[in-house]
Amino acid sequence: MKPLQQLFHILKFQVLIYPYRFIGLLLYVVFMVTMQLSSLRYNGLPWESHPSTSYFLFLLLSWVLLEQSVFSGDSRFVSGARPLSLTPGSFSFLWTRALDRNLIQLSQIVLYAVFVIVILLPGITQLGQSMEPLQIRFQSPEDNGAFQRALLAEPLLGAYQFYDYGKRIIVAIPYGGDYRIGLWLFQNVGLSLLFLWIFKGLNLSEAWRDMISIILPFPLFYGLILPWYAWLLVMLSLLLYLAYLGRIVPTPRPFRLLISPLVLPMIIILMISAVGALKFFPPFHRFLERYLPPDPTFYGDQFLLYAHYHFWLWGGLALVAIVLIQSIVRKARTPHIVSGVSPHCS
Amino acid sequence: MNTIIELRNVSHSFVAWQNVLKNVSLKIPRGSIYGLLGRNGAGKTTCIRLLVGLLKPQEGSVTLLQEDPLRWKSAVSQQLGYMGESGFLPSNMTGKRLISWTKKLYPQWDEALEKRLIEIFRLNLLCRVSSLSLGQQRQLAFLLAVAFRPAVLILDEPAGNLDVVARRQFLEEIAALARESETTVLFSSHILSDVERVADRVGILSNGSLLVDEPLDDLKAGIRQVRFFWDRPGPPPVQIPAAYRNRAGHGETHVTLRFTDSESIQKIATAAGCSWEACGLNLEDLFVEITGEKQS
Repeated sequence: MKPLQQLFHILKFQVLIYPYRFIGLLLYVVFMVTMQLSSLRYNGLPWESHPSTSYFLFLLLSWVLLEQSVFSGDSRFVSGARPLSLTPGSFSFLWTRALDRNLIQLSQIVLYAVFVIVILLPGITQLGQSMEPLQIRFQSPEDNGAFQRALLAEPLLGAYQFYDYGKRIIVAIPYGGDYRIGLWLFQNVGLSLLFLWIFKGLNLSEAWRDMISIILPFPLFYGLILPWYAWLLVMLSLLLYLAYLGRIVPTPRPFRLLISPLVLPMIIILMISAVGALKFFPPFHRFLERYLPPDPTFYGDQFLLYAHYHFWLWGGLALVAIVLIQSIVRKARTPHIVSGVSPHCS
Repeated sequence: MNTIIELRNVSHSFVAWQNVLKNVSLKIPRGSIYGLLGRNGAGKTTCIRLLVGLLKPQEGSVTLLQEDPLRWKSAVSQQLGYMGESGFLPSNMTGKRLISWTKKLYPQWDEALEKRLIEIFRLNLLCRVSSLSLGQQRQLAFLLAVAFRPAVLILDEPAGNLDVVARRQFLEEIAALARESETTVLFSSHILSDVERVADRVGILSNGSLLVDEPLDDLKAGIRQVRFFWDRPGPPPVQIPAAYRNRAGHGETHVTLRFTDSESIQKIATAAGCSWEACGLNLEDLFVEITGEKQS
């Protein structure tokens, strides 16, 4: 088999062993992208483009998942964290087949990169709408009139004024989003990979590796824009994650499930989504849109909360439907059940 | 002697204060069927995982087919058949899909052998791996490991979860493969009668050290249990430091040792004022004597 064929063969295997996860991820992407693209109707309104707290939590969740997928089943580095992997058990099977081991590692990177791009895609589309201006704030104790005029007159920037709050002005530069697409891709994919491979090479223990590779990229990605409470959440999440691994104190099993990196962010996001859904229930939402003056911080967060609400609502219903359909199909497939054991599989 | 598998002064630990393997050196010649024995936690699985490149040795070196397993290319790994412990197979795939996926990696895949094993094991390939019983999962894993007639076959507890008939079929297939394709086989097992049935060479691991590594017949001929006995009550026990095991009580001492010549035993018996007799041991007794407590 040629190397490229081998690589496709490995990727096919990764998808085949967990098809539902990949389908779920694909549906998630389609949903999020659709929702994000529909936000184009807000283009005429000014809004802040920093990631909301809930979106940030999504990133935290995705980070943990992605990292585990890279180290999937690699017994040299992982042991307890293996069940979290997106494709658990695949590594040792592939590793002992007639495959080029460099290609197996490469496939993990490819998968990782795909997941990074896919999960960050909603963020990229949100930030990357070329109609969305890149906003810059200026604040000064003096009157900014002269500076403002000079900035607006600069043809290369093509800037225009959004708001003038006296001593504080917001200047917007159109097509700034295009610049941000590249920046985000570079930051999130490139640096993440770099960090992961450095830490893999260092052969650190599981807890240290997780701690460093989760914490370190954040100052680089979001250090300038994250509010203090988001940092608090990072620390809290990390502590809980270590507690989940049993690194701090032996954690009882039900509690472990509750604070697992898969479940906990989902619970938090669900709560935020629920609050958001109540707060921005569609009629109320229309009322606000019609009567309240546009608030720079309002629409960005509101939209994401709204999207999350729908994601969990329809996603949850879809999950229940899938489980039901699956159980019906299984029953139909195994018509002769004797003492609870299928004659085909006993 | 053409060495196929070699461990040279290998040490490995998962935690700093305890070595799972301690300075293990091992050579397995081409065509051997090697039984790796040891109690739970002796280091068998670690040894096997080092051999197939799933672990990197912290000290020493490992070579399989004259290559470092960590640097294998696919051409070399086409000659390795490996079957890990249970839970090794991807559980969401059906047997049919798993076989067809694996088959593409091995140009030398033997369709006839595949069919024969499916028939012998009565495998249902339409079920997902997770739906199969543990025994059938082992059988499927065995099929995937041997159907391309590898030059080296490494099996970790292959007979675990198998009934007696299936175990016997396994052993027959292993022996047939070694006979027909000159496959070098290394397998770990707790079931010593299985090892005794097919292995021509054995290694015994105990607390991470390789205590025995030699042909099975030599081992059985070389290690004996010597019984020293006295006519009078309360004799001093015979102590032989090089012995595998000393057991004293009721006017006699049982010593398991490598039996070289009768004269040296006679000297010890004369010095202790006792008579002696030696007897051979089967593999199970040998294993208990070698890996059990030294004194009792």
